[in-house]
Amino acid sequence: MSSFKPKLGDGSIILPQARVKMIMKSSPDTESISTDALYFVTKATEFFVEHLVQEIYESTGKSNELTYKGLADIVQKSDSMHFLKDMVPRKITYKEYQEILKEKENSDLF
Amino acid sequence: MYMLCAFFNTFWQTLKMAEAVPEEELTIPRAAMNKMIKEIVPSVRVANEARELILNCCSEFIHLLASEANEICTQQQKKTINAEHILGALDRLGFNDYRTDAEAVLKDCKAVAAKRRRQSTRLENLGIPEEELLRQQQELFAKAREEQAAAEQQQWLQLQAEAQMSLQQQQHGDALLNSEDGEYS
Repeated sequence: MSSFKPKLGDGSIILPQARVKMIMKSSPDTESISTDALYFVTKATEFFVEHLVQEIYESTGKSNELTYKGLADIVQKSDSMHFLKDMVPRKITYKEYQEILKEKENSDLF
Repeated sequence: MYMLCAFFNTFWQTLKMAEAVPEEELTIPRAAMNKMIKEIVPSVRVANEARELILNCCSEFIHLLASEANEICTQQQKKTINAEHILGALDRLGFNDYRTDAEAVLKDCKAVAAKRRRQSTRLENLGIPEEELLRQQQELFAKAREEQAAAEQQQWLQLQAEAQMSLQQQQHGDALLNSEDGEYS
Protein backbone atom coordinates (compact mmCIF):
# COMPACT_ATOMS: atom_id res chain seq x y z
CA MET A 1 0.00 0.00 0.00
CA SER A 2 2.91 2.36 0.56
CA SER A 3 3.54 2.55 -3.19
CA PHE A 4 0.06 3.89 -3.94
CA LYS A 5 0.27 7.02 -6.07
CA PRO A 6 -3.17 8.06 -7.25
CA LYS A 7 -3.61 9.18 -10.80
CA LEU A 8 -6.94 10.71 -9.95
CA GLY A 9 -5.44 13.10 -7.42
CA ASP A 10 -5.84 16.34 -9.32
CA GLY A 11 -8.80 17.73 -7.38
CA SER A 12 -11.46 16.79 -9.88
CA ILE A 13 -14.16 14.31 -8.95
CA ILE A 14 -15.61 11.64 -11.21
CA LEU A 15 -18.01 9.88 -8.87
CA PRO A 16 -21.30 11.70 -8.29
CA GLN A 17 -21.40 13.03 -4.73
CA ALA A 18 -25.19 12.91 -4.59
CA ARG A 19 -25.19 9.17 -5.17
CA VAL A 20 -22.43 8.65 -2.60
CA LYS A 21 -24.57 10.57 -0.13
CA MET A 22 -27.54 8.32 -0.87
CA ILE A 23 -25.45 5.23 -0.28
CA MET A 24 -24.16 6.64 3.00
CA LYS A 25 -27.64 7.52 4.17
CA SER A 26 -28.83 3.99 3.54
CA SER A 27 -26.44 2.94 6.29
CA PRO A 28 -28.30 2.69 9.58
CA ASP A 29 -28.16 5.69 11.91
CA THR A 30 -26.38 7.95 9.44
CA GLU A 31 -27.97 11.35 9.74
CA SER A 32 -26.38 14.46 8.30
CA ILE A 33 -23.05 14.71 6.55
CA SER A 34 -21.04 17.90 6.05
CA THR A 35 -19.96 18.97 2.55
CA ASP A 36 -16.30 18.42 3.33
CA ALA A 37 -17.02 14.97 4.74
CA LEU A 38 -18.97 13.99 1.63
CA TYR A 39 -16.12 15.21 -0.53
CA PHE A 40 -13.66 13.10 1.46
CA VAL A 41 -15.76 9.97 1.20
CA THR A 42 -16.19 10.42 -2.55
CA LYS A 43 -12.51 11.05 -3.08
CA ALA A 44 -11.53 8.15 -0.81
CA THR A 45 -13.83 5.86 -2.79
CA GLU A 46 -12.15 6.94 -6.01
CA PHE A 47 -8.75 6.16 -4.52
CA PHE A 48 -10.10 2.83 -3.32
CA VAL A 49 -11.24 1.88 -6.81
CA GLU A 50 -7.98 3.04 -8.29
CA HIS A 51 -6.01 1.06 -5.75
CA LEU A 52 -8.13 -2.04 -6.27
CA VAL A 53 -7.86 -1.91 -10.03
CA GLN A 54 -4.13 -1.27 -9.94
CA GLU A 55 -3.53 -4.16 -7.56
CA ILE A 56 -5.43 -6.57 -9.77
CA TYR A 57 -3.59 -5.27 -12.79
CA GLU A 58 -0.20 -5.80 -11.15
CA SER A 59 -1.02 -9.17 -9.63
CA THR A 60 -2.27 -10.64 -12.90
CA GLY A 61 1.04 -9.74 -14.52
CA LYS A 62 -0.33 -6.61 -16.20
CA SER A 63 -2.57 -8.69 -18.39
CA ASN A 64 -4.93 -6.82 -20.61
CA GLU A 65 -7.99 -8.29 -19.02
CA LEU A 66 -9.55 -7.74 -15.61
CA THR A 67 -11.62 -10.70 -14.54
CA TYR A 68 -13.57 -11.95 -11.58
CA LYS A 69 -10.73 -14.30 -10.71
CA GLY A 70 -8.22 -11.46 -10.55
CA LEU A 71 -10.48 -9.56 -8.19
CA ALA A 72 -11.17 -12.58 -6.01
CA ASP A 73 -7.47 -13.34 -5.69
CA ILE A 74 -6.59 -9.83 -4.62
CA VAL A 75 -9.38 -9.73 -2.07
CA GLN A 76 -8.13 -12.90 -0.47
CA LYS A 77 -4.50 -11.82 -0.46
CA SER A 78 -4.54 -8.14 0.43
CA ASP A 79 -5.05 -7.15 4.05
CA SER A 80 -6.82 -3.90 3.38
CA MET A 81 -9.25 -5.63 1.03
CA HIS A 82 -10.27 -8.25 3.55
CA PHE A 83 -13.58 -6.57 4.28
CA LEU A 84 -14.64 -7.60 0.79
CA LYS A 85 -14.05 -11.28 1.43
CA ASP A 86 -17.69 -12.18 1.66
CA MET A 87 -18.58 -10.26 -1.45
CA VAL A 88 -16.03 -11.89 -3.70
CA PRO A 89 -15.63 -15.50 -2.74
CA ARG A 90 -13.24 -17.54 -4.80
CA LYS A 91 -15.05 -19.64 -7.34
CA ILE A 92 -14.44 -23.32 -7.06
CA THR A 93 -15.26 -26.16 -9.37
CA TYR A 94 -17.97 -28.60 -8.42
CA LYS A 95 -15.33 -31.27 -7.89
CA GLU A 96 -13.54 -29.11 -5.35
CA TYR A 97 -16.87 -28.48 -3.66
CA GLN A 98 -17.55 -32.17 -3.36
CA GLU A 99 -14.14 -32.73 -1.82
CA ILE A 100 -14.73 -30.00 0.71
CA LEU A 101 -18.08 -31.59 1.60
CA LYS A 102 -16.47 -34.93 2.03
CA GLU A 103 -13.79 -33.50 4.30
CA LYS A 104 -16.43 -31.83 6.39
CA GLU A 105 -18.34 -35.05 6.71
CA ASN A 106 -15.21 -36.86 7.79
CA SER A 107 -14.34 -34.28 10.42
CA ASP A 108 -17.93 -34.31 11.66
CA LEU A 109 -17.71 -38.02 12.24
CA PHE A 110 -14.93 -37.57 14.76
CA MET B 1 -65.64 3.47 -10.18
CA TYR B 2 -64.25 0.14 -9.16
CA MET B 3 -61.98 -0.03 -12.23
CA LEU B 4 -60.69 3.47 -11.53
CA CYS B 5 -59.76 2.52 -7.99
CA ALA B 6 -57.87 -0.53 -9.14
CA PHE B 7 -55.99 1.49 -11.71
CA PHE B 8 -54.95 4.12 -9.19
CA ASN B 9 -53.85 1.46 -6.79
CA THR B 10 -51.43 -0.19 -9.18
CA PHE B 11 -50.26 3.21 -10.41
CA TRP B 12 -49.47 4.28 -6.87
CA GLN B 13 -47.71 1.04 -6.08
CA THR B 14 -45.54 1.32 -9.16
CA LEU B 15 -44.61 4.85 -8.16
CA LYS B 16 -43.65 3.71 -4.70
CA MET B 17 -41.61 0.87 -6.08
CA ALA B 18 -39.74 3.22 -8.35
CA GLU B 19 -38.93 5.51 -5.43
CA ALA B 20 -37.76 2.93 -2.94
CA VAL B 21 -34.50 1.48 -4.20
CA PRO B 22 -33.54 -1.48 -2.07
CA GLU B 23 -30.39 -0.85 -0.11
CA GLU B 24 -28.47 -3.73 -1.62
CA GLU B 25 -28.88 -2.34 -5.12
CA LEU B 26 -27.79 1.22 -4.44
CA THR B 27 -24.52 1.68 -6.28
CA ILE B 28 -22.44 4.23 -8.12
CA PRO B 29 -23.73 4.70 -11.67
CA ARG B 30 -22.04 2.45 -14.17
CA ALA B 31 -21.03 5.28 -16.48
CA ALA B 32 -18.99 6.95 -13.73
CA MET B 33 -17.32 3.63 -12.88
CA ASN B 34 -16.47 2.92 -16.50
CA LYS B 35 -14.99 6.37 -16.87
CA MET B 36 -12.80 5.83 -13.83
CA ILE B 37 -11.55 2.43 -14.94
CA LYS B 38 -10.79 3.87 -18.36
CA GLU B 39 -8.62 6.54 -16.76
CA ILE B 40 -6.80 4.11 -14.51
CA VAL B 41 -6.09 1.31 -16.96
CA PRO B 42 -6.94 2.65 -20.41
CA SER B 43 -5.75 -0.34 -22.41
CA VAL B 44 -7.32 -3.08 -20.33
CA ARG B 45 -10.53 -4.90 -21.07
CA VAL B 46 -12.64 -5.35 -18.00
CA ALA B 47 -15.13 -8.20 -17.82
CA ASN B 48 -18.69 -7.14 -17.09
CA GLU B 49 -18.80 -9.41 -14.12
CA ALA B 50 -15.76 -7.70 -12.68
CA ARG B 51 -17.28 -4.25 -13.26
CA GLU B 52 -20.44 -5.30 -11.46
CA LEU B 53 -18.38 -6.57 -8.60
CA ILE B 54 -16.26 -3.44 -8.32
CA LEU B 55 -19.47 -1.40 -8.17
CA ASN B 56 -20.66 -3.48 -5.23
CA CYS B 57 -17.26 -3.27 -3.55
CA CYS B 58 -17.54 0.50 -3.79
CA SER B 59 -20.88 0.48 -2.03
CA GLU B 60 -19.43 -1.77 0.63
CA PHE B 61 -16.50 0.57 1.09
CA ILE B 62 -18.80 3.59 1.43
CA HIS B 63 -21.01 1.75 3.94
CA LEU B 64 -17.96 0.80 5.95
CA LEU B 65 -16.67 4.36 5.98
CA ALA B 66 -20.09 5.72 6.85
CA SER B 67 -20.73 3.45 9.81
CA GLU B 68 -17.20 3.88 11.19
CA ALA B 69 -17.43 7.66 10.86
CA ASN B 70 -20.89 7.58 12.38
CA GLU B 71 -19.50 5.77 15.40
CA ILE B 72 -16.77 8.38 15.87
CA CYS B 73 -19.36 11.11 15.40
CA THR B 74 -21.64 9.64 18.07
CA GLN B 75 -18.70 9.19 20.44
CA GLN B 76 -17.98 12.88 20.10
CA GLN B 77 -21.68 13.54 20.67
CA LYS B 78 -21.97 15.48 17.43
CA LYS B 79 -24.99 15.39 15.12
CA THR B 80 -23.28 15.91 11.77
CA ILE B 81 -20.51 13.76 10.36
CA ASN B 82 -17.69 16.09 9.48
CA ALA B 83 -14.38 15.73 7.64
CA GLU B 84 -12.49 14.90 10.84
CA HIS B 85 -14.75 11.92 11.47
CA ILE B 86 -14.13 10.60 7.97
CA LEU B 87 -10.39 11.01 8.35
CA GLY B 88 -10.56 9.20 11.68
CA ALA B 89 -12.57 6.42 10.09
CA LEU B 90 -10.00 6.03 7.30
CA ASP B 91 -7.29 5.69 9.93
CA ARG B 92 -9.23 3.18 12.01
CA LEU B 93 -9.96 1.02 8.98
CA GLY B 94 -6.33 1.03 7.89
CA PHE B 95 -6.76 3.20 4.81
CA ASN B 96 -4.14 5.77 5.79
CA ASP B 97 -2.88 6.11 2.24
CA TYR B 98 -6.26 7.34 1.07
CA ARG B 99 -6.32 9.76 3.96
CA THR B 100 -3.09 11.55 3.10
CA ASP B 101 -3.95 11.70 -0.58
CA ALA B 102 -7.49 12.92 0.08
CA GLU B 103 -6.15 15.63 2.40
CA ALA B 104 -3.64 16.77 -0.20
CA VAL B 105 -6.38 16.91 -2.83
CA LEU B 106 -8.64 18.95 -0.54
CA LYS B 107 -5.83 21.42 0.08
CA ASP B 108 -5.24 21.74 -3.67
CA CYS B 109 -8.94 22.22 -4.22
CA LYS B 110 -9.14 25.04 -1.70
CA ALA B 111 -6.02 26.71 -3.08
CA VAL B 112 -7.40 26.60 -6.61
CA ALA B 113 -10.75 28.00 -5.48
CA ALA B 114 -9.09 30.85 -3.57
CA LYS B 115 -6.83 31.67 -6.49
CA ARG B 116 -9.78 31.75 -8.83
CA ARG B 117 -11.57 34.23 -6.56
CA ARG B 118 -8.56 36.56 -6.53
CA GLN B 119 -8.04 36.29 -10.27
CA SER B 120 -11.60 37.25 -11.00
CA THR B 121 -10.62 40.91 -10.54
CA ARG B 122 -7.84 40.40 -13.10
CA LEU B 123 -5.50 42.67 -11.19
CA GLU B 124 -2.89 40.01 -10.60
CA ASN B 125 -2.73 39.16 -14.28
CA LEU B 126 -1.70 42.72 -15.25
CA GLY B 127 1.38 42.58 -13.06
CA ILE B 128 1.07 46.28 -12.25
CA PRO B 129 1.78 47.44 -8.70
CA GLU B 130 -1.13 48.75 -6.69
CA GLU B 131 0.07 52.39 -6.41
CA GLU B 132 0.39 52.63 -10.17
CA LEU B 133 -3.10 51.23 -10.58
CA LEU B 134 -4.45 53.79 -8.10
CA ARG B 135 -2.73 56.59 -9.98
CA GLN B 136 -4.20 55.36 -13.27
CA GLN B 137 -7.60 55.18 -11.67
CA GLN B 138 -7.34 58.80 -10.47
CA GLU B 139 -6.30 59.88 -13.96
CA LEU B 140 -9.25 58.14 -15.50
CA PHE B 141 -11.62 59.75 -13.00
CA ALA B 142 -10.22 63.22 -13.69
CA LYS B 143 -10.48 62.68 -17.41
CA ALA B 144 -14.05 61.48 -17.07
CA ARG B 145 -14.94 64.54 -15.02
CA GLU B 146 -13.44 66.82 -17.66
CA GLU B 147 -15.28 65.11 -20.45
CA GLN B 148 -18.50 65.28 -18.52
CA ALA B 149 -18.05 68.99 -17.84
CA ALA B 150 -17.25 69.66 -21.49
CA ALA B 151 -20.31 67.73 -22.60
CA GLU B 152 -22.51 69.60 -20.19
CA GLN B 153 -21.19 72.92 -21.33
CA GLN B 154 -21.78 71.93 -24.93
CA GLN B 155 -25.36 71.05 -24.09
CA TRP B 156 -25.84 74.32 -22.28
CA LEU B 157 -24.54 76.32 -25.20
CA GLN B 158 -26.78 74.44 -27.57
CA LEU B 159 -29.82 75.03 -25.41
CA GLN B 160 -28.94 78.71 -25.28
CA ALA B 161 -28.59 78.86 -29.06
CA GLU B 162 -31.92 77.13 -29.53
CA ALA B 163 -33.60 79.40 -27.02
CA GLN B 164 -32.13 82.37 -28.81
CA MET B 165 -33.40 81.18 -32.14
CA SER B 166 -36.88 80.54 -30.91
CA LEU B 167 -36.94 83.94 -29.30
CA GLN B 168 -35.93 85.60 -32.53
CA GLN B 169 -38.59 83.72 -34.43
CA GLN B 170 -41.18 84.78 -31.94
CA GLN B 171 -40.09 88.40 -32.18
CA HIS B 172 -40.22 88.21 -35.96
CA GLY B 173 -43.68 86.69 -35.75
CA ASP B 174 -44.81 89.43 -33.39
CA ALA B 175 -43.42 92.07 -35.70
CA LEU B 176 -45.42 90.65 -38.60
CA LEU B 177 -48.56 90.60 -36.54
CA ASN B 178 -48.02 94.19 -35.46
CA SER B 179 -47.45 95.33 -39.01
CA GLU B 180 -50.65 93.59 -40.06
CA ASP B 181 -52.52 95.38 -37.33
CA GLY B 182 -51.00 98.57 -38.54
CA GLU B 183 -52.49 98.01 -42.00
CA TYR B 184 -56.01 97.67 -40.77
CA SER B 185 -55.99 100.51 -38.39
